[in-house]
Amino acid sequence: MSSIPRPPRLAGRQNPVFLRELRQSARLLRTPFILMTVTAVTAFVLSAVGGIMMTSKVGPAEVGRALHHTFFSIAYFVVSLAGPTVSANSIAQEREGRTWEALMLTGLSPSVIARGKFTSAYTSVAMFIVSLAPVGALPFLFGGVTAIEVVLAFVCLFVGAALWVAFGLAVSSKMENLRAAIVVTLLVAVVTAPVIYGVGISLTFAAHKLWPAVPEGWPVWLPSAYERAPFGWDYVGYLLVAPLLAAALPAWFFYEVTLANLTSVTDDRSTGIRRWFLVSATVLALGAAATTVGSGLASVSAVMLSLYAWFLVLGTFTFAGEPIGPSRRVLARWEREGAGAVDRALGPGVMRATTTSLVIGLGGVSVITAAGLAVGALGGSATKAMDSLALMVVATYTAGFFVFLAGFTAWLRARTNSVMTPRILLLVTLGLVLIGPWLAAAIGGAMSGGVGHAPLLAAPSPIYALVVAAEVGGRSAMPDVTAVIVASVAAGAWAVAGLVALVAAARRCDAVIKAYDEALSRGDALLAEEDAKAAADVAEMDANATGEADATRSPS
Amino acid sequence: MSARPAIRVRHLWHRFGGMDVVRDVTFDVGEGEIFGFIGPNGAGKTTTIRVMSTLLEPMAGRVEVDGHDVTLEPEKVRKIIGYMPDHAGVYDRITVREYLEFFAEAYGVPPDVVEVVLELTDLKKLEARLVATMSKGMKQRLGLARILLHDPKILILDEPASDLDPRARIEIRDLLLELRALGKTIFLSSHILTELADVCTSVAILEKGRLVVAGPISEIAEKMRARAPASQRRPELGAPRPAGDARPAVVTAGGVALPDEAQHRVKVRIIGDAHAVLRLIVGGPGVVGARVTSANQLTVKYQGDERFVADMVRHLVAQGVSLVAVEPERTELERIFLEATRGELQ
Repeated sequence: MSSIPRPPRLAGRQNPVFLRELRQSARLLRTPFILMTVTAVTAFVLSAVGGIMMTSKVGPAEVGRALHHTFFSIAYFVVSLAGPTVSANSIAQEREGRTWEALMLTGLSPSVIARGKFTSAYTSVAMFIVSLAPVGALPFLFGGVTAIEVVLAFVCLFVGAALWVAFGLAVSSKMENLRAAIVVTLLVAVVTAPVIYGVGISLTFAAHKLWPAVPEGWPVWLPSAYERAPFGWDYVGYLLVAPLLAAALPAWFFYEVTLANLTSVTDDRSTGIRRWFLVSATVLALGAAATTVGSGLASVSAVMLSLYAWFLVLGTFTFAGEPIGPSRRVLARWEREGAGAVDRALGPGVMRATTTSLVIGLGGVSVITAAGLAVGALGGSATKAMDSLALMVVATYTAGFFVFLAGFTAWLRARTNSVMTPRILLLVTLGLVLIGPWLAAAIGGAMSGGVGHAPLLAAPSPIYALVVAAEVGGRSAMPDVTAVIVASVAAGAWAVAGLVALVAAARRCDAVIKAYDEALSRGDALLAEEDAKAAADVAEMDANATGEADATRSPS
Repeated sequence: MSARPAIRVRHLWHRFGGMDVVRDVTFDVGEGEIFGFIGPNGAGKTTTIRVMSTLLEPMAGRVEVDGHDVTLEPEKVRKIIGYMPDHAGVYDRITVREYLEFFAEAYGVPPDVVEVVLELTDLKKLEARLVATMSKGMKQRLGLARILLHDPKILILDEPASDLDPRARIEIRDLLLELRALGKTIFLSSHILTELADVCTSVAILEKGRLVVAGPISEIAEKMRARAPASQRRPELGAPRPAGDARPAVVTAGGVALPDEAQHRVKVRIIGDAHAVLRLIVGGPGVVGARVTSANQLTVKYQGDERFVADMVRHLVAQGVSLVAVEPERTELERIFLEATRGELQ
């Protein structure tokens, strides 16, 4: 009997990690009880909300809409807490349970392990959503929402769940201790989930302004926007491209962080994250430039630059964990695979990482600034000229301070053995630089008995550039040139300090790598000498043995 | 010319923070050997093993496994070795068979290998049992089964019998001897000398990160005897078995042949003539040699386990010998260890 050929994807090798975790989860007795409790509590809350609303004089459609938003808000928070908690278990548990080494030595690649862990954690979280789904159908009894809106809301929920699981997995991959992994992920989730929820609600006002059919102030607005907004460039940009990037870029980042943490310290943990940074920085810069051009306002460019600067700070923190240079293992792999200049530039090494981030970051700042200046130049009015000046202040400061941050981080990393020390010092420095000058300005103002030029003392803080930009932008004439000059000088000083630190870091890295190479060469020479001596000894013994045998055979 | 060593460790250094935990360690492990890696806790055994298993990169020196550099070719090394860490964990809520099937899938070996390994490690009768409900000894056995799935040439076991009861230790020892008979090279670390004395053919002793001595047990013992002052030298009880000796090898309870190095000494104190008792003992099964040490005491060197002592006592009592005491003497390995190390950490 001929068997029915299976599709290639299904016929392929199943992820063993996923299958094993699924088996283990199936035997966990508490899962059905947890699912049942969450579903019952959600149903109770929805019934209560529905009941209360029915007593007031609102129509059934209004009740249905309220239930819809209540349900998906609850589901969002359930997923936000359950997702990271479930995935935080996965890798940290392997490490704590001392099963990790066995798994790693099987030869399964970190990407296979990460995908297996992700899929199994995601399946568990998806079970929460599926068990809640019947409760989510309750609004249909009242109307006010369409089936497509509900389906799209579930799609958004599943995408959000994937992001939370990926985040939990990234944290878990770093942690040795299960409890620490759960506490860290939960703490972050408890703080971040309401913030994202709040940002979501605030975006409804912008969405309503752009598409009046989208109701204002309701939290679950994206599915409504998909259904009700007219298709056009705005639809493509804000409802398709932007959400796609908002989901894909963080998901990719979490994936690369997980892979890096699952890879041995002496392997290449850098290339994946560097690729992510390169693509993300480019996409975000182009997106920011497009938004600026779309808005027709130079001031939007300044806002975009400020947001972009935070992305560069994230990149700097990430690269603070780079090794001084590539390990022997990585160098050997490069040789074996004939790695080209681009592969090597994206490989491990603090100076490689710093150079890449500087080139890409400053390029991004230039693109966003150019877009803003182009918009300002098209206007030609005095106001637009001042907006352009404000933008230049922000751009110069962003560039100068980014050079400092990158150089300082490279120097810190070059001087320390640990990867955490530079990150902690960087965080402290950043905090001091952001707030410290303002404290100095406040004290200076108080001591001088008035404000006067005391705010100039705050010039070392990057916030000062935003304050100056706010002061200059939107005006028709130059208010006070001193603040602009001081901001520019401060930006220049940061850049110079950064370059000095960068040169010092490069020298230090070169010295460390040179010393390492010399030690390796000495070791290789010693081993080669020993090999040669051993070979000579063996040859001599063979020669002696042959001589003795000849002597034995000799007639004399 | 000698064959390529299965494991070659040369001038290995490793450091954690500011502390050198492994310092210039050099030794070879021959193919088919059971190699004991001995040292007190904190001597650097696990660090050396983790380097050999590709989990750490050496800071200096070179480690080769079956000719592959662990730094440059970790993937190849991982295919050759089976590594069982100390206090290794197992997955809960999974049966013995499922556990092995998972690792078989992960190693990319056919599922029928699981059947073979279950038989080899005597876990067949426990295949449906949840791993979480197994004893420590059985979990350790399962760990051994796991590392056999991909049929590695070299087994690296870090403290395989720690925390095990005596029965489980004996079972693990017998299993190791079976594996050696299958041609595996076994690298075994422990700080419990009796655990190694029965099975090892060669040893390396590590103390405070430095290698104190390494090589076949008999060679090390010979060197130490040669180095000792003449007054402290003790006569050998019996010459090693010559090649081609047809005497049956001593076997364990599990029917596994013990290596020649698994020899022990026992002191026998009697009332009466020790020379007469010597004649009753010499030539008996398992007896490697014997000598009279005082008027009423003699030392017997034997190959085997405690059953030999029980048989000997029964035999002597049946012959009317008045036995006062039978005490085990230190093993060769214990003597080597005590003589080679300063014991600063113990």
